[in-house]
Amino acid sequence: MWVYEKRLQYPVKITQTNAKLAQVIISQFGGPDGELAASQRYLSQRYTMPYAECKGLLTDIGTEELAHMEIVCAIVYQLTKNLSVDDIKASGFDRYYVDHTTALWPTAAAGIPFNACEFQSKGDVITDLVEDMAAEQKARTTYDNILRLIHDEEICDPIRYLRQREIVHFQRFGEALTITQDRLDSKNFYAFNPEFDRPSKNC
Amino acid sequence: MKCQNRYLQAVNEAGFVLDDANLFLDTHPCCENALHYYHEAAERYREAKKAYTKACGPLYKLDSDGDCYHDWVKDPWPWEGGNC
Repeated sequence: MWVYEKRLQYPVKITQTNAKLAQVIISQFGGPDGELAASQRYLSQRYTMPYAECKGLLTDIGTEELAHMEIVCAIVYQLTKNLSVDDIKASGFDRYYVDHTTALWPTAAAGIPFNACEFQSKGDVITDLVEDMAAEQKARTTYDNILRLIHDEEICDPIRYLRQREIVHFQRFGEALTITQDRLDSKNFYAFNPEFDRPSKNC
Repeated sequence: MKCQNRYLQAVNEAGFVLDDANLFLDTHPCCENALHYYHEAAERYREAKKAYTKACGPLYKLDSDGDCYHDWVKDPWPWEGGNC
């Protein structure tokens, strides 16, 4: 069960619209390493996770990713508010505008729509946690790439916050992997999959 | 279906009343009768949540208690049929 809290996890206050930048930043909404994919990755993986700490972490990070998706959407919304038709044409935003006006729709910057194939829920705790660590680094790289393209402090500030959270999540997933490995056979972490196999009593 | 855990059943009932009344108020924000109903439902929900938390553990991370262990992370989780 979820409850919505009527606030952004980190404030967004952008006074200057910029449709060109919005088209880049929207990738962190619906792109391959975006916040929508992140939230659905963790919230899908948690059901078959074998350890309480991992279930808790995936639930809590998955929930935080929903809040990050809201921050990214707030940035895109504020960057595309009150655009004139001339602004839309000049910025190249017309290709998005024709289908969505200025509404939020999950897509990558290059126009590829959001797709569940952008994340995995593999049902193997080591595989999934390693995917999660990689996902946090990929998102961190995307935020670094965004930060090279923008210099406006109003936009950079919440982007830097989101980038920092990727690093924290990476750290926590690494700890979850350690917790997991501590409960497996150190001679062969892959001897069985605790999300599916039951260890044989003869072993 | 009813939960065998009476504390959880009470939270589910009070929570559903709250969710449903809230939706009505989203489209009728000036309806005084509905507001009154909502406030009463909110109070019943708060009471039910308090009783559940005391008996079974935290529903919200904010209510996690315990000096030596973070109760929030304890099994079972809801999708495992926990406390139902």
